[in-house]
Amino acid sequence: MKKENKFNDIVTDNGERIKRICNYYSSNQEDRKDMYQEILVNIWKSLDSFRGDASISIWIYRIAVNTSLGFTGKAFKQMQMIVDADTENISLLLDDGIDEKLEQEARLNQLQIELNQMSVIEKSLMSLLLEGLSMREIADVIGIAEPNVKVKIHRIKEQLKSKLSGGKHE
Amino acid sequence: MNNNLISKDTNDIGSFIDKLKKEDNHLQTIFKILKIAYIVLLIVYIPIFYFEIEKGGLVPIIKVVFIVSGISTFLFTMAYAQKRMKKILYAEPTLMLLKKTEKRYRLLHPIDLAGIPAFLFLAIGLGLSEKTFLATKEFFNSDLNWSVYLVEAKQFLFSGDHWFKMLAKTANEFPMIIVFMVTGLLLFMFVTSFVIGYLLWLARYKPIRDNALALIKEIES
Repeated sequence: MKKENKFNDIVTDNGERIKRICNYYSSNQEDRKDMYQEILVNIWKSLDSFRGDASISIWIYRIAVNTSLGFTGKAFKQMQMIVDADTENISLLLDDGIDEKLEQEARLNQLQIELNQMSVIEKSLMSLLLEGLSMREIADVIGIAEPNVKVKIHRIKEQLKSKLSGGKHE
Repeated sequence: MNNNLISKDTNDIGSFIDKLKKEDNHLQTIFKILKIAYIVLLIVYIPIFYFEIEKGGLVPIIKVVFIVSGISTFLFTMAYAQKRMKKILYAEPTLMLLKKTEKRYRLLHPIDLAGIPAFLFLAIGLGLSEKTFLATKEFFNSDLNWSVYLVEAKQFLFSGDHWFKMLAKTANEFPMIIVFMVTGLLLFMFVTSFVIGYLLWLARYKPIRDNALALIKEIES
Protein backbone atom coordinates (compact mmCIF):
# COMPACT_ATOMS: atom_id res chain seq x y z
CA MET A 1 0.00 0.00 0.00
CA LYS A 2 1.25 3.48 -0.88
CA LYS A 3 2.36 5.72 1.98
CA GLU A 4 -0.29 8.31 1.10
CA ASN A 5 -3.06 5.72 1.20
CA LYS A 6 -1.80 4.26 4.45
CA PHE A 7 -1.66 7.76 5.93
CA ASN A 8 -5.17 8.61 4.75
CA ASP A 9 -6.53 5.36 6.20
CA ILE A 10 -4.91 6.06 9.56
CA VAL A 11 -6.24 9.61 9.66
CA THR A 12 -9.73 8.50 8.64
CA ASP A 13 -9.83 5.74 11.25
CA ASN A 14 -8.19 7.70 14.05
CA GLY A 15 -8.99 11.34 13.35
CA GLU A 16 -11.55 11.55 16.15
CA ARG A 17 -9.17 9.95 18.62
CA ILE A 18 -6.44 12.48 17.75
CA LYS A 19 -8.89 15.38 18.03
CA ARG A 20 -9.98 14.13 21.46
CA ILE A 21 -6.37 14.12 22.68
CA CYS A 22 -5.90 17.66 21.36
CA ASN A 23 -9.01 18.70 23.26
CA TYR A 24 -7.41 17.70 26.56
CA TYR A 25 -4.60 20.15 26.02
CA SER A 26 -6.36 23.35 25.05
CA SER A 27 -9.70 25.10 25.05
CA ASN A 28 -8.49 27.29 22.20
CA GLN A 29 -9.68 26.17 18.78
CA GLU A 30 -6.57 27.44 16.98
CA ASP A 31 -4.19 25.71 19.42
CA ARG A 32 -6.10 22.46 18.99
CA LYS A 33 -5.87 22.78 15.22
CA ASP A 34 -2.12 23.42 15.40
CA MET A 35 -1.58 20.44 17.65
CA TYR A 36 -3.72 18.23 15.43
CA GLN A 37 -1.63 19.22 12.43
CA GLU A 38 1.61 18.62 14.31
CA ILE A 39 0.49 15.14 15.30
CA LEU A 40 -0.36 14.42 11.65
CA VAL A 41 3.09 15.64 10.56
CA ASN A 42 4.73 13.33 13.10
CA ILE A 43 2.53 10.42 12.02
CA TRP A 44 3.65 11.02 8.44
CA LYS A 45 7.34 11.17 9.48
CA SER A 46 7.03 7.99 11.54
CA LEU A 47 4.95 6.02 9.09
CA ASP A 48 7.89 4.33 7.34
CA SER A 49 9.05 2.89 10.63
CA PHE A 50 5.68 1.43 11.63
CA ARG A 51 6.16 -2.31 11.58
CA GLY A 52 3.04 -3.31 13.44
CA ASP A 53 4.86 -4.27 16.65
CA ALA A 54 2.30 -2.22 18.55
CA SER A 55 -1.36 -1.79 17.71
CA ILE A 56 -2.07 1.23 15.54
CA SER A 57 -3.98 2.98 18.34
CA ILE A 58 -1.09 2.57 20.79
CA TRP A 59 1.29 3.81 18.08
CA ILE A 60 -0.85 6.91 17.55
CA TYR A 61 -1.14 7.58 21.28
CA ARG A 62 2.66 7.43 21.52
CA ILE A 63 3.04 10.04 18.78
CA ALA A 64 0.29 12.15 20.31
CA VAL A 65 1.81 12.08 23.79
CA ASN A 66 5.31 12.85 22.50
CA THR A 67 3.91 15.64 20.32
CA SER A 68 1.90 17.06 23.18
CA LEU A 69 5.08 17.37 25.26
CA GLY A 70 6.54 19.62 22.59
CA PHE A 71 3.31 21.44 22.01
CA THR A 72 2.87 22.36 25.67
CA GLY A 73 6.34 23.83 25.57
CA LYS A 74 5.53 25.99 22.57
CA ALA A 75 2.80 27.93 24.32
CA PHE A 76 2.86 26.63 27.85
CA LYS A 77 0.83 29.42 29.41
CA GLN A 78 -2.04 28.88 27.01
CA MET A 79 -1.97 25.11 27.19
CA GLN A 80 -4.10 23.73 29.96
CA MET A 81 -5.48 20.31 30.49
CA ILE A 82 -9.18 20.59 29.74
CA VAL A 83 -11.89 18.39 31.19
CA ASP A 84 -15.57 19.11 31.56
CA ALA A 85 -18.64 17.34 32.82
CA ASP A 86 -19.11 15.82 29.34
CA THR A 87 -15.60 14.36 29.20
CA GLU A 88 -15.97 10.67 28.63
CA ASN A 89 -14.48 8.47 31.37
CA ILE A 90 -14.11 11.41 33.76
CA SER A 91 -15.25 9.09 36.53
CA LEU A 92 -11.94 7.20 36.04
CA LEU A 93 -10.05 10.11 37.54
CA LEU A 94 -11.90 9.92 40.83
CA ASP A 95 -13.52 6.68 41.79
CA ASP A 96 -15.11 7.31 45.17
CA GLY A 97 -18.22 9.20 44.22
CA ILE A 98 -16.66 12.64 44.19
CA ASP A 99 -17.38 12.73 40.45
CA GLU A 100 -21.04 13.28 41.26
CA LYS A 101 -20.12 16.51 42.91
CA LEU A 102 -18.26 17.56 39.81
CA GLU A 103 -21.54 18.55 38.31
CA GLN A 104 -21.19 21.57 40.45
CA GLU A 105 -19.19 24.05 38.46
CA ALA A 106 -16.96 25.05 41.36
CA ARG A 107 -15.83 21.46 41.85
CA LEU A 108 -15.08 21.08 38.18
CA ASN A 109 -13.03 24.25 38.18
CA GLN A 110 -11.12 22.96 41.18
CA LEU A 111 -10.38 19.71 39.35
CA GLN A 112 -9.23 21.72 36.36
CA ILE A 113 -6.83 23.74 38.52
CA GLU A 114 -5.43 20.63 40.19
CA LEU A 115 -4.93 18.87 36.86
CA ASN A 116 -2.97 21.84 35.58
CA GLN A 117 -0.65 21.74 38.58
CA MET A 118 0.51 18.32 37.46
CA SER A 119 3.72 17.69 35.54
CA VAL A 120 3.64 16.95 31.80
CA ILE A 121 4.10 13.23 32.42
CA GLU A 122 1.24 13.16 34.93
CA LYS A 123 -0.96 15.06 32.49
CA SER A 124 -0.10 12.54 29.80
CA LEU A 125 -1.03 9.66 32.09
CA MET A 126 -4.33 11.33 32.92
CA SER A 127 -5.17 12.01 29.29
CA LEU A 128 -4.50 8.35 28.42
CA LEU A 129 -6.66 7.26 31.33
CA LEU A 130 -9.45 9.54 30.14
CA GLU A 131 -9.11 7.93 26.73
CA GLY A 132 -10.13 4.70 28.39
CA LEU A 133 -6.81 2.94 27.84
CA SER A 134 -6.06 -0.03 30.07
CA MET A 135 -3.07 0.05 32.43
CA ARG A 136 -1.28 -2.33 30.05
CA GLU A 137 -1.87 0.01 27.11
CA ILE A 138 -0.74 3.09 29.04
CA ALA A 139 2.39 1.17 30.01
CA ASP A 140 3.00 0.46 26.29
CA VAL A 141 2.65 4.13 25.37
CA ILE A 142 4.93 5.50 28.10
CA GLY A 143 7.32 2.54 28.06
CA ILE A 144 7.19 1.48 31.70
CA ALA A 145 5.93 -1.62 33.49
CA GLU A 146 2.21 -2.02 34.13
CA PRO A 147 2.55 -2.11 37.97
CA ASN A 148 4.52 1.14 37.77
CA VAL A 149 1.67 2.77 35.83
CA LYS A 150 -0.84 1.51 38.39
CA VAL A 151 1.18 2.99 41.24
CA LYS A 152 1.58 6.34 39.48
CA ILE A 153 -2.09 6.63 38.60
CA HIS A 154 -3.13 5.59 42.09
CA ARG A 155 -0.80 8.25 43.53
CA ILE A 156 -2.23 10.96 41.24
CA LYS A 157 -5.82 9.97 42.08
CA GLU A 158 -5.04 10.09 45.79
CA GLN A 159 -3.59 13.57 45.40
CA LEU A 160 -6.62 14.74 43.43
CA LYS A 161 -9.00 13.30 46.03
CA SER A 162 -7.04 14.86 48.83
CA LYS A 163 -7.01 18.27 47.20
CA LEU A 164 -10.66 18.17 46.10
CA SER A 165 -11.80 17.21 49.56
CA GLY A 166 -9.87 20.12 51.04
CA GLY A 167 -6.90 18.07 52.20
CA LYS A 168 -8.93 15.86 54.53
CA HIS A 169 -8.51 12.75 52.46
CA GLU A 170 -5.10 11.03 52.69
CA MET B 1 4.28 17.19 45.97
CA ASN B 2 5.72 20.68 45.59
CA ASN B 3 3.55 22.58 43.14
CA ASN B 4 6.14 25.26 42.49
CA LEU B 5 8.61 22.59 41.56
CA ILE B 6 6.11 20.93 39.26
CA SER B 7 5.31 24.17 37.47
CA LYS B 8 9.00 24.92 36.97
CA ASP B 9 9.61 21.34 35.88
CA THR B 10 6.72 21.39 33.41
CA ASN B 11 7.82 24.72 32.01
CA ASP B 12 11.37 23.50 31.41
CA ILE B 13 10.39 20.11 30.08
CA GLY B 14 7.57 21.39 27.90
CA SER B 15 9.78 22.78 25.17
CA PHE B 16 11.99 19.71 25.30
CA ILE B 17 10.76 17.77 22.28
CA ASP B 18 10.54 20.93 20.21
CA LYS B 19 14.18 21.69 20.94
CA LEU B 20 15.01 18.09 20.20
CA LYS B 21 13.47 18.20 16.76
CA LYS B 22 15.17 21.50 15.94
CA GLU B 23 18.53 20.11 17.06
CA ASP B 24 18.02 16.94 15.04
CA ASN B 25 17.33 18.95 11.89
CA HIS B 26 20.26 21.25 12.62
CA LEU B 27 22.68 18.35 13.21
CA GLN B 28 21.46 16.47 10.16
CA THR B 29 22.14 19.51 7.98
CA ILE B 30 25.65 19.87 9.45
CA PHE B 31 26.40 16.19 8.85
CA LYS B 32 25.09 16.40 5.30
CA ILE B 33 27.28 19.44 4.52
CA LEU B 34 30.35 17.80 6.08
CA LYS B 35 29.74 14.59 4.18
CA ILE B 36 29.47 16.43 0.86
CA ALA B 37 32.59 18.45 1.71
CA TYR B 38 34.61 15.28 2.36
CA ILE B 39 33.40 13.63 -0.83
CA VAL B 40 34.37 16.75 -2.81
CA LEU B 41 37.73 16.79 -1.01
CA LEU B 42 38.35 13.16 -1.96
CA ILE B 43 37.49 13.88 -5.59
CA VAL B 44 39.79 16.92 -5.64
CA TYR B 45 42.61 14.93 -4.04
CA ILE B 46 42.52 12.06 -6.56
CA PRO B 47 44.74 13.86 -9.17
CA ILE B 48 47.01 15.11 -6.36
CA PHE B 49 47.38 11.54 -5.09
CA TYR B 50 48.18 10.42 -8.61
CA PHE B 51 51.05 12.94 -8.92
CA GLU B 52 52.34 12.11 -5.44
CA ILE B 53 52.51 8.39 -6.23
CA GLU B 54 54.07 9.14 -9.65
CA LYS B 55 57.03 10.69 -7.79
CA GLY B 56 57.95 7.17 -6.67
CA GLY B 57 59.32 6.03 -3.32
CA LEU B 58 57.71 4.94 -0.09
CA VAL B 59 57.00 8.34 1.48
CA PRO B 60 54.41 9.59 -1.09
CA ILE B 61 52.55 6.27 -0.81
CA ILE B 62 52.47 6.47 3.02
CA LYS B 63 51.34 10.10 2.72
CA VAL B 64 48.46 9.16 0.39
CA VAL B 65 47.46 6.22 2.61
CA PHE B 66 47.28 8.47 5.69
CA ILE B 67 45.30 11.22 3.92
CA VAL B 68 42.83 8.75 2.41
CA SER B 69 42.46 6.97 5.78
CA GLY B 70 41.87 10.29 7.54
CA ILE B 71 39.26 11.55 5.07
CA SER B 72 37.56 8.13 4.91
CA THR B 73 37.39 7.82 8.70
CA PHE B 74 35.75 11.27 8.87
CA LEU B 75 33.39 10.34 6.03
CA PHE B 76 32.27 7.08 7.65
CA THR B 77 31.92 8.77 11.04
CA MET B 78 29.65 11.41 9.54
CA ALA B 79 27.66 8.86 7.53
CA TYR B 80 27.15 6.74 10.65
CA ALA B 81 26.12 9.75 12.73
CA GLN B 82 23.60 10.82 10.09
CA LYS B 83 22.17 7.32 9.89
CA ARG B 84 21.81 7.30 13.67
CA MET B 85 19.98 10.63 13.56
CA LYS B 86 17.55 9.32 10.94
CA LYS B 87 16.67 6.49 13.30
CA ILE B 88 15.09 8.87 15.83
CA LEU B 89 11.48 7.92 16.10
CA TYR B 90 8.91 10.08 17.79
CA ALA B 91 6.56 7.08 17.73
CA GLU B 92 8.69 5.27 20.27
CA PRO B 93 7.54 4.84 23.87
CA THR B 94 8.25 8.08 25.71
CA LEU B 95 10.77 6.55 28.10
CA MET B 96 12.73 4.92 25.26
CA LEU B 97 12.79 8.21 23.34
CA LEU B 98 14.12 9.96 26.44
CA LYS B 99 16.81 7.37 27.09
CA LYS B 100 18.03 7.56 23.50
CA THR B 101 18.08 11.35 23.78
CA GLU B 102 20.12 11.17 26.97
CA LYS B 103 22.66 8.93 25.24
CA ARG B 104 22.73 11.03 22.08
CA TYR B 105 23.57 14.24 23.92
CA ARG B 106 26.30 12.88 26.16
CA LEU B 107 29.55 14.87 26.05
CA LEU B 108 31.64 12.09 24.54
CA HIS B 109 30.35 9.44 22.19
CA PRO B 110 32.35 6.48 20.85
CA ILE B 111 31.63 7.97 17.43
CA ASP B 112 33.30 11.25 18.49
CA LEU B 113 36.39 9.32 19.55
CA ALA B 114 36.70 8.07 15.96
CA GLY B 115 37.52 11.69 15.14
CA ILE B 116 40.84 11.38 17.00
CA PRO B 117 42.48 8.78 14.68
CA ALA B 118 40.93 10.58 11.69
CA PHE B 119 42.56 13.84 12.83
CA LEU B 120 45.90 12.09 13.46
CA PHE B 121 45.85 10.33 10.06
CA LEU B 122 45.19 13.64 8.31
CA ALA B 123 47.83 15.48 10.34
CA ILE B 124 50.47 12.84 9.59
CA GLY B 125 49.44 12.56 5.94
CA LEU B 126 49.47 16.31 5.30
CA GLY B 127 52.66 16.91 7.28
CA LEU B 128 54.63 14.03 5.84
CA SER B 129 57.27 14.77 3.18
CA GLU B 130 60.60 13.33 2.17
CA LYS B 131 62.29 16.04 4.28
CA THR B 132 60.21 15.51 7.45
CA PHE B 133 60.51 11.74 7.03
CA LEU B 134 64.31 11.95 6.88
CA ALA B 135 64.42 14.44 9.75
CA THR B 136 62.34 12.14 11.95
CA LYS B 137 64.48 9.15 11.01
CA GLU B 138 67.63 11.11 11.77
CA PHE B 139 66.21 12.34 15.06
CA PHE B 140 65.62 8.82 16.34
CA ASN B 141 69.03 7.62 15.16
CA SER B 142 70.99 10.65 16.39
CA ASP B 143 72.83 10.99 19.70
CA LEU B 144 71.67 14.58 20.14
CA ASN B 145 69.71 14.99 23.31
CA TRP B 146 66.65 17.13 23.98
CA SER B 147 68.66 19.99 25.47
CA VAL B 148 70.08 20.82 22.02
CA TYR B 149 66.56 21.32 20.72
CA LEU B 150 65.62 23.41 23.73
CA VAL B 151 68.63 25.69 23.17
CA GLU B 152 67.72 26.00 19.50
CA ALA B 153 64.09 26.76 20.37
CA LYS B 154 65.22 29.43 22.87
CA GLN B 155 67.41 31.03 20.22
CA PHE B 156 64.57 30.93 17.74
CA LEU B 157 62.22 32.65 20.14
CA PHE B 158 64.48 35.18 21.84
CA SER B 159 67.39 35.92 19.48
CA GLY B 160 65.81 39.13 18.26
CA ASP B 161 66.37 38.27 14.60
CA HIS B 162 63.48 38.39 12.18
CA TRP B 163 61.33 35.28 12.81
CA PHE B 164 61.24 34.23 9.16
CA LYS B 165 65.04 34.41 8.90
CA MET B 166 65.37 32.42 12.12
CA LEU B 167 62.83 29.87 10.93
CA ALA B 168 64.77 29.27 7.71
CA LYS B 169 68.03 28.95 9.66
CA THR B 170 66.55 26.61 12.28
CA ALA B 171 64.75 24.50 9.71
CA ASN B 172 67.96 24.13 7.81
CA GLU B 173 70.06 23.11 10.82
CA PHE B 174 67.47 21.17 12.79
CA PRO B 175 64.59 20.13 10.51
CA MET B 176 63.06 18.19 13.42
CA ILE B 177 62.22 21.52 15.08
CA ILE B 178 59.67 22.10 12.31
CA VAL B 179 58.11 18.68 12.99
CA PHE B 180 57.85 19.59 16.68
CA MET B 181 56.34 22.99 15.88
CA VAL B 182 53.76 21.55 13.50
CA THR B 183 52.89 18.81 16.04
CA GLY B 184 52.53 21.46 18.75
CA LEU B 185 50.33 23.56 16.50
CA LEU B 186 48.14 20.55 15.71
CA LEU B 187 47.88 19.68 19.39
CA PHE B 188 46.91 23.26 20.14
CA MET B 189 44.24 23.12 17.41
CA PHE B 190 43.00 19.81 18.79
CA VAL B 191 42.74 21.10 22.37
CA THR B 192 41.11 24.34 21.16
CA SER B 193 38.54 22.36 19.12
CA PHE B 194 37.80 20.22 22.17
CA VAL B 195 37.32 23.28 24.40
CA ILE B 196 35.04 24.95 21.81
CA GLY B 197 33.09 21.68 21.44
CA TYR B 198 32.76 21.41 25.22
CA LEU B 199 31.45 24.99 25.53
CA LEU B 200 28.99 24.35 22.69
CA TRP B 201 27.80 21.18 24.41
CA LEU B 202 27.46 23.05 27.70
CA ALA B 203 25.30 25.76 26.14
CA ARG B 204 23.20 23.78 23.68
CA TYR B 205 23.14 20.07 24.38
CA LYS B 206 23.59 19.75 28.14
CA PRO B 207 20.21 21.45 28.87
CA ILE B 208 18.47 18.97 26.55
CA ARG B 209 20.22 16.05 28.23
CA ASP B 210 19.42 17.43 31.70
CA ASN B 211 15.75 17.73 30.74
CA ALA B 212 15.77 14.17 29.46
CA LEU B 213 17.37 12.95 32.68
CA ALA B 214 14.80 14.83 34.78
CA LEU B 215 11.93 13.29 32.80
CA ILE B 216 13.46 9.80 33.00
CA LYS B 217 13.80 10.23 36.76
CA GLU B 218 10.17 11.30 37.02
CA ILE B 219 8.88 8.41 34.92
CA GLU B 220 11.00 5.82 36.70
CA SER B 221 10.34 7.11 40.22
